[in-house]
Amino acid sequence: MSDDAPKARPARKIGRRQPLTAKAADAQDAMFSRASDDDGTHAVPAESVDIPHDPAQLDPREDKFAEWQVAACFIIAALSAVGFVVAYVMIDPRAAIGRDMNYALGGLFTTSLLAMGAGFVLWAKKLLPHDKMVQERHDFFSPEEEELATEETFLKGFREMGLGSRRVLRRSLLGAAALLPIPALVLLRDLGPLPHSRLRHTAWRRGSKLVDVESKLPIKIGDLEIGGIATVMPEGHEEPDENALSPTILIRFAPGEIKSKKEAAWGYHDHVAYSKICSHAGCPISLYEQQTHHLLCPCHQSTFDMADDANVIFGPAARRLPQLRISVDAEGYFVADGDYSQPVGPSFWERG
Amino acid sequence: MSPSTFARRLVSRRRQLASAAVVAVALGLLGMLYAAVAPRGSAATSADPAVDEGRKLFQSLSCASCHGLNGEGGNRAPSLIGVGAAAVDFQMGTGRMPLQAHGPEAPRKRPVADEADILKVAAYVASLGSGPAIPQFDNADWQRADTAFGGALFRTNCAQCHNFAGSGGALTYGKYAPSLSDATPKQIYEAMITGPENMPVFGDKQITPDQKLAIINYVRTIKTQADPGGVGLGRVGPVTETVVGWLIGIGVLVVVTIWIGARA
Repeated sequence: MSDDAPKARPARKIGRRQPLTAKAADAQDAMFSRASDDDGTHAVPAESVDIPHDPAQLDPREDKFAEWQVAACFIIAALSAVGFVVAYVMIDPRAAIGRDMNYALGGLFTTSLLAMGAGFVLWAKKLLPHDKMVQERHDFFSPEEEELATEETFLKGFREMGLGSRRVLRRSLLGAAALLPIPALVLLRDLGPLPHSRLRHTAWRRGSKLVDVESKLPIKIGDLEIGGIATVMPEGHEEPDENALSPTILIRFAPGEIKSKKEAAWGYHDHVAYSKICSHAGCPISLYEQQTHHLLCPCHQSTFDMADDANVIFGPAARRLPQLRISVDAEGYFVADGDYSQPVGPSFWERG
Repeated sequence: MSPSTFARRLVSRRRQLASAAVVAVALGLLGMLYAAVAPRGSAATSADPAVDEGRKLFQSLSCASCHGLNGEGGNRAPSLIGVGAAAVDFQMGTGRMPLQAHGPEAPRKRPVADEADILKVAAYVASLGSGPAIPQFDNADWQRADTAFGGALFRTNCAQCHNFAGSGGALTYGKYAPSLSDATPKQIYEAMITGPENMPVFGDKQITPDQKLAIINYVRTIKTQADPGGVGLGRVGPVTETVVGWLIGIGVLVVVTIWIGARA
């Protein structure tokens, strides 16, 4: 090593190359003065660059040891592969799936691949000859005269088009170019059928019974305990997937808990029904806290005070949840007095 | 003193004596009447010895310091009249009561009293006013319930707060819905019928006892289910799996790549 070589390994920064030693730089310069082979690759003699001294390539005992190291890796890989098959046959999947079976199969296959890879790496590092190759790279730019010629050709073509003098051509071209995006915009109409008035209505009708969404049974007065809630759908339209605006939450308060007069009037004997579709982004809400009467939307934490006509007390929702006016039919079942009086769910362009 | 004056005085004294006697008799009668119909208060005894022992425990376990000497409630705690035995068994059985500290949510902890004592306190509180009784069922009852339907009911009624794998979740202002992994079948049932803290009440007319057992079977089934891959990651599905995949999996790859690049 020459005197001007760095004494200590310089602090490495990711992506920054170590500076060449003076000797290596000289060797590299000498390389490019030599003739290269077809793809521009020069072989660099090992002694001209700082290649670490590798005992395995000089000492036959080290060589033998390295060979066994590589072989040991391959043997581990082979044993793991066999172990995989044994584990697959031996472990009862019904008892151990998700646990022992996964650990055994995954672990053994990982070991097999890892040992195989480690073997190859050791082989390449310790047993293959350590030559260094240099490949010449050319700069990527065109000669100046070529650039000038291209520029001249382009400008000449532009001049010959005569856009300055041919006004009719210029204007018709501008018009055509301006109208070109219109067909693409018109195609947006094919994104789906227009909603028409469907955003303004739900499946609730006058006399629709409030049906439990899961049991599909109508709910009678007294079915809910004080502090109870139920998710209800209009009778005959029980599938929430097909009636995404209709899900409604029925809440029973203790007497005197309802603060809003309108809310109490639209409900029936401490029972009230509100849309379950958040007025912010349309998530179904039913995180109901029976002591605080908060209804919390899980999507963006809008919080509604259900004792105060679903007033928004926190979060991004802009409006109260719409209330469904309910009463009780002759048999004691809850029925809706009609559809919601305002559009349910998130805002839309023409909502008003 | 003339005889007439003497006679008047005698009559007057007699009258005074008579009225005093009437007052004394009346007071005595009133006292006896009160003793006969008055509420017995803390000195009262009842037919069920468990209720009496429960009352003593209610005071010695310091329930009474917040809920009042007769469970009538106070500034710091609600009335226990009419909450029923199930509520007591749930609150004390999960260690939430007696309360350790006032806060948004009472955490689950080791029960202070053993099961026999809890049942005595429950019997006492149940004697204050009628409420939901401790549900009676054995393991075979919920084990043969319909798991799939229980899952559907759970996802409709419970999953919004407790998460669809029963892992629990956050509510407003520091409150939270607890994980169900430690809850016993009886505690799950009691929670549904009593609605502890901010949980809504799910009465037997809304979710029938059979449906409740199905929900319990679902909760217990997912609790004992194995996690393919070994780690459940909160069982909240593809979100955590993707986060772990990106942060840890790809993160490790990036670090390894940088390391290889730095060595080259």
